Parts: sequence; C-alpha cells; structure tokens
Amino acid sequence: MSERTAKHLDFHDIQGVVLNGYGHLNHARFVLLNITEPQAAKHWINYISSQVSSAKRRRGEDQLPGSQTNIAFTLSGMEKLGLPDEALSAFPREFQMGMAAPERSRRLGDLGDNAPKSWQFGGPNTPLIDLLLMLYARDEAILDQSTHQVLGARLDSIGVEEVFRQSSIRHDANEPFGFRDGISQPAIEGAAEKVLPGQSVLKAGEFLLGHVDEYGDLVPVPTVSRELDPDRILPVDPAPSMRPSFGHNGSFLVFRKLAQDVEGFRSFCDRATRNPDGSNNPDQAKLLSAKMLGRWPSGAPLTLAPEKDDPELGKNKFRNNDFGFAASDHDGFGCPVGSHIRRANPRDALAFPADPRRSLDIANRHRIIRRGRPYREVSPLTGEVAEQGLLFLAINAALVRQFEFIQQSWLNNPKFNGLYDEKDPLSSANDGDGMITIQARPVRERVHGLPRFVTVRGGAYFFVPSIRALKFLAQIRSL
Amino acid sequence: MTQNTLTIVTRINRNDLEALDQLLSTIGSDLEKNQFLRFPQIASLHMAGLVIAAQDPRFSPILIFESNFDGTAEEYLRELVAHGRAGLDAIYSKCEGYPSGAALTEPAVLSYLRGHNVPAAAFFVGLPGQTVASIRNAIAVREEINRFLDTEIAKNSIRSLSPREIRDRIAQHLERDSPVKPEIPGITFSRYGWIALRNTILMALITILALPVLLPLLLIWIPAVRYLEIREKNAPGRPDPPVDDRTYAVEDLFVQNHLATIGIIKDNPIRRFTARSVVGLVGIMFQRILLRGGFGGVFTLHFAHVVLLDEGRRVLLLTGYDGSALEYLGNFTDTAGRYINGAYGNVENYPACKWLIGKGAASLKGFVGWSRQHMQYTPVFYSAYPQETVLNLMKDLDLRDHLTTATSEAEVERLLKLL
Repeated sequence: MSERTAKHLDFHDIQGVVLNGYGHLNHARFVLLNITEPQAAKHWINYISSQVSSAKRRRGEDQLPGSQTNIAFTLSGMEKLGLPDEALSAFPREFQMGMAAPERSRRLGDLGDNAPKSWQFGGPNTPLIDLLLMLYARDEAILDQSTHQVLGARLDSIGVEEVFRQSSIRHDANEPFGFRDGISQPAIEGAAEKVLPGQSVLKAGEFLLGHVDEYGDLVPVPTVSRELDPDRILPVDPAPSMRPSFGHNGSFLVFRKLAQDVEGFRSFCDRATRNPDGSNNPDQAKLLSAKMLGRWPSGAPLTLAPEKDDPELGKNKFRNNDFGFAASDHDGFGCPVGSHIRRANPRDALAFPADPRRSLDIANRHRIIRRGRPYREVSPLTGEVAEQGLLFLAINAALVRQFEFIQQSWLNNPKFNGLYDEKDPLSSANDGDGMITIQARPVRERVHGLPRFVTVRGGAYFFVPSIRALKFLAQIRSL
Repeated sequence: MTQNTLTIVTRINRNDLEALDQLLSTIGSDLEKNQFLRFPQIASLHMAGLVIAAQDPRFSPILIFESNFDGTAEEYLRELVAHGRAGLDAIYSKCEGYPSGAALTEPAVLSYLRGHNVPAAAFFVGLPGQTVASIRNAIAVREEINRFLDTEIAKNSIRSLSPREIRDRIAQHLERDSPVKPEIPGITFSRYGWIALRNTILMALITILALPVLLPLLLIWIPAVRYLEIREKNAPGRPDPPVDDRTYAVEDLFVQNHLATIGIIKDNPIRRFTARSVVGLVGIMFQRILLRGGFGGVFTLHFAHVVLLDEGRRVLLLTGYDGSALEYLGNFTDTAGRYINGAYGNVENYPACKWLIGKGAASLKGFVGWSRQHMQYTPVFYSAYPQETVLNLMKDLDLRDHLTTATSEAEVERLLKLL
C-alpha cells in the first residue's frame, strides 16, 4: 500500500460527499426540492450553509460526526437563486439540458420502460427539481433530527416545496442482488491518504472543477463578474479574465433511482441453468449470476477466482480489486468480456489500443466515483418488500465524458470491445431479448432471453457547489 | 476489386435551402423505402452521406454527396442514376446548374454529377479489397456458425469435443447443410497486412534514396512551421461560424455514424503548402500502408476521405465510423492525434500544435470543441451493413477466410475465440 498526502486540495471548500462516501453512516435521506420563493430559499440556504459538511479531514473514528448534510442544485435551482445567465450558460450542454432531455435519454438508454415520462421524479410529468438535499446519519433518530434541523417544520417558510423523498438504510455491504458493492473506486490525487492495491489514482480534475484532468486540460468553469462578488467570497479563476470562479471545487452529481428486480434475477438464473431433468442447479445458477456481474457474491473477482467463490478474497480490500484483465483473463474465460464489471471499467483490456498500460490510461479517463445507497419500499398492506433497488449517486467533473460515456459506450453498447449484439446483462434494458456470451473452452456459450433486471424510476443531474460557491449563491444579489 | 469514392459538391440555390433540407430529412428518415434514392438496390454501395454545409456566411451553402463503393466511378454513377433518378432530380434541381426541361436527360445528369465530383486528396478504407457482397457473406457465415453452435450446445453434443473437432463439425455443416456458403475472395483481408508490409519497406527505401533532396527541404520547412505555431499562439483566429445544433440530433443514432467537418486553412502560403503536402502524404499512407483495418490504434473507421474545397482554401473531412461521436473523437485524443495534427494544425482555430504533430488533438477539450464547432449537418446517411463495426467485420472476415483451412490446433482455437 502506498501513502499519499493531500497537499493541494482545499478540503474545507469541497463538499464532503464529493470526497467521502460516509461509510460510517448507514442511514441516509435524499430530499428533492422545488424553490417556490427564491428570496426565502436564499435566506434558508444562507442559514444552512454553515451546516453543510465539507471534506475536511478528521483523525480517528471517535471524531467522525453522527450526521452529515450536503446540497446540490440543478440549473433551474441556480437560476432561481439569481446566478446570472453568463455563468449558467457556461455550464456544459448536458447539464443545462438535464438528464430527462430526449437527447440525453438516447445516450443513456432511458427508453421504453426507462423513459423519463414514467419517472417518479425528474421527468416531464413531474414537478421541477431545483435542489437535492443529502442527509446522512448514524441512526434513524439522528437522521430525523438532522432533517428537522435542516428543513424546519414548514417548507413554505423556507421557500421550497418537496418533490420527492427517499430514505435508505444500509444493513450490510451488499447491493440488493446480493453482491458486495463499492469495491472498485478510483482514488483522487491529493485526496487519497491510502491507496489500495489495484486502485487507480486519478487527477483531481476528473472529479473537481477547476483542476487539471487526466488529459492535462484545465477545463473552463463558470465564472461571474467581479461586481457580483464584492465581498470576494469566490476564488479568482486562473484564466486570463481573473473573474471570480463559481465552479472551482464544485462537481457534478448524477442521481438516479434504479429499481432492481431481485426475484426476476434469481429466477432467470435458476431457469437458465436447469438440469436436463428440469431440476434446479444452484451451483450453475450462482455461477451464471457471477458471470453476469464479473464477481461472486462475496466480491471476489472471477478473474482471480474463476471456479468458485472465495469469501476470504472477497472481503480482503487489499486483494479484491488488485487485478487487470489483460494478463490473465484477456479472452474472458474467467470474467466474461460482456460482464457488468468489465463493461463499467474495462481496466487494461480495451480491444484497442492493445497495449494494457495505454488501455488502462484510457479507461481511467472515463471513471466515476459511486456513492450509491440501497433503498427498500415496504407495502403498507402486506408488510412485504414491494420494491428495492439502488439510489445511484455518481461524482464526476464531465458528465458526458464520464457517466454518460460509461452508459452509452460501455454498458449499453451492443458492440462493446468487439462483441456483436449484447448489452450489459444486469443494468441495461434487455426486455427479454438480451444475451450474454460466456467465453469458454473449447467454444463460447451464449445465454439468450435476458429480461430487464433494472428499471429507472427517476433521475436528475446536479451541480455540487463548493462551500464558498454555496455561500455566494445564498448571498447573491441582483445588479 | 478496390473500393472507390465520389464526392459531388454543388452550390445550393439559397431560396431552396429549406426545401432541400426537408427533402433530405424525408429521405434520411426512410433509407430503405423512400422513393427518391433507393440505396439498398445499388449493389456496389457501401456507404453514402448527404451533407448540407450552410453555417458559414462567408461561403455559399453547399451540398456534399459522398459515396463509397466497389468498382469504378462510372459504373457507380450509372447504378446511382438507375436507382435514384427521381431523388437526383428532386435534390439537384435545388442546386445551381442542374439541367431542366428538355435538357434534363440521363447523359446530362451523368455529366452534371461527373462535373461536380471533387477528387479526394486522401481516401482511407477500413477493410481494403472487401466488396459489399464479400462483407455480407462474412456476416452471414458468422451468423450461421453461431446458430449451428447454439443448437449443438443446447443438444450437449459438442462440449466434450476438441477445438479441431468442433471446427470440423462447423466445416461439415457449412458444406452440407448450411444455406450460406463461405465465399473467400482471391485476396483475403489478411493478405493486405503483407501488402502493407511490402509497401512500408518500399516506401522506406524510397525515402532513404530521396533523403538528400528531402532533408534540406525539411530543415527549412519544419522550423518555418514551428515559427508560425509560436507566432500564432497569441494571435486570435477569426471567429468560427455558429454550431449547427442539428448535428446533435443526427449523431449517436446507429452502430455506425457519420461525421463531416469543414475547416478553413490559415491564410498563409506555408500553411497552405503544409496542408496540401501533409494531406497528400496521408493519402499515400492510406492507400499503401494503412491497410489493416485501422491506424494509430483507431479501429472504428469504415471510410474516411479528405477533400480540398474552394481551390484549397477549405478542407472537408468525411467519415463513416462506429460508436458515439465522443468515443470516436476521443480515440484521436487518446491514441491517434498525431495522424491528423499534421494536416489540421494548418486550419483556423484548431488547438495549437507543436512541431506539426504534437498536442493539437491530444487536448480533448480543444479537439472536441473544434470538431463540434465545425461539424456539418448530415441528414442522410446510408450503410449497406449498418449494424456491423469494423472490429466485428475484421473478425468475421478472419473467421470466414481461415476457419475451414486452419491447420494448427492453436490457430483453430484462436479462430473459435472470435465467436
């Protein structure tokens, strides 16, 4: 394990959720709000800005707070709060359009049952979303207390109305399909104190605006006129204009509610692996589900454990992500080329360039940091689980090059890495006509008839401003 | 048979621009059944695109009709007229100089098309020597093999066989039962690898022999370009025309997509000379050396050609590629920027280059920004095999051309892994 010391990032200015998954806080609540009275909302944001958690470092478990609060805005939210057009128009096109725009849906594969018209929030038939409040706590009581503290008793008094709310309790490290989650995350240069074996360390500009990215580029960020920031709240942009930088230390957040058909997934794997006499074959079913994901339920990667699950390997964070595909599993005999983890991060085995080192460099230009949380909805009538899934949260600095690229060019691409006609077996909209090729000796097998296991219930793109930009936003005044 | 290209460039009557746009949208939205241009009936046609370039007020709006096909231009034009006369009349009656009334005869149409063809300065073919029929046959053979294997695996009849035994079963099936038979061309795709190697050696020898003449020229030329690169760094270029938002609507629609860009060559004799020379050199490389499916690590290009417009003032690039626009452009930033910097470094507002081949496209921000700003609207894009990537087809050709004849166990195993 190598040690990295944070040197140049201003942790006090970066919102905590960008750099921290709050792994010690198992209770979370996500509240989507619409601003109805901008002036009152500004007062409220000004009031809570001191409660918004930064990424500042703490030493020792006992110093970790029992709750954390973060906030993010859509373009309309920032517009209502008075951010001028010149700054709004400097946000990238995909953010300005929003996740539900048809052009984005086409790229994301949000079509058919996944289409925004059916969404519970963020779609054309649901109220406008202006901001997202992310609340994390150690237990439910603290979470309720924190929610009350931030939102108060009456939303209309703070100039907002609630659009949607979803709570999450994380009982263990597994996502609803039963696989250990959150294993492979990139580290950020300047923010990673410890780098795990196999973990890529990426330039801060991949996740924070105003920093150099993996291309060596410093992408321009939204700025405002000096007159708009008389108190010099914002840092100065290094570009020749020397204008106050609104975007610096901010990031983009993808928020999606993904319903997972857990029963459908299990029963499909059972059906597809039945013995000739019609009886179930649990070992083969387990193998098929692992082939689709690329890991065993314990988290052990098939590339390192191709035959059977290895729980010791799965839980060992020093080993469970320390692998590439090129050297030992190039052909996909362990982890299939079309499996979920190989599509989401092809590592050193892109079809081209063939050089593993170059492949890894290129794959690392399309990474996200996942901050997902599971959710579970219980039927009030039966008390049984009516729906469960993932609240998918992803941090990135370039939505189109990172999150959207992964969705379009890797997960949903039927031609990914030389394949012919198959999308991600787990997350793509397969609708009964899906397929996965399982590379094998002497010749491949193909599993046909994959249904849809994941359905998008809602989503939106948010900008997570820096702490300074948040304070600026709360105090912004019209010229 | 070699592939060929035609680029018919015509000026659009300004009053007809909107009507032409609508007509092309109609054709583009129904490539299979429209009554104007019946592309699927043109057996030799690989890809065709119709591009409207009307964003830059400094130039007259033009229509670009790009075709990539097997055989000669004359044969193709006759096929095109035979299967698309109604469309040609409807389209080109909205352009300058198209015959009308009694003068509108087939010879006159052919003459008009010939007269407006602008020869490509550089032409890249992803799969050289592979006709439409050959490519379709390779696809059909692979699909047939997959069907056969799925059936046999379901019957549990081949799991215990060796690779060579499985190959023999496949060969037997293709020979006896399959409705599809492999049609292996005289010069297979893999042979082009050897041709490329031979040409590379020849080119290297010619370069060595020409070095006494070339070297002094290079010693003057390259520093002169570098001097311009430094001088131009602080000289803002003329503003670009606005982005055509319609380009977003027609990209990322299919497995294959089309991209057309037009750049203005910098108004400087050294820049013009450099652009022409580099494009010429690239043209030779495309035709003689880069014959193995891709270049610089980019294996997503089916066809690409560069055309110099307006007596060399503008450079037009037309490509048919696989995947999303960002993925395609990103490939150049990631691996192949140096292949295009030499030419595009001479174009206005292109990201700054260093010593002709450095940086430029290596900046994603700069390169994608420039490309987006200079993209032209392609309302019509046809492909004879729209669901196949270059990578798919390379595998298909390899499989068809070698599976039944492979002799070693390792080679058979390698070929089976392609499935």
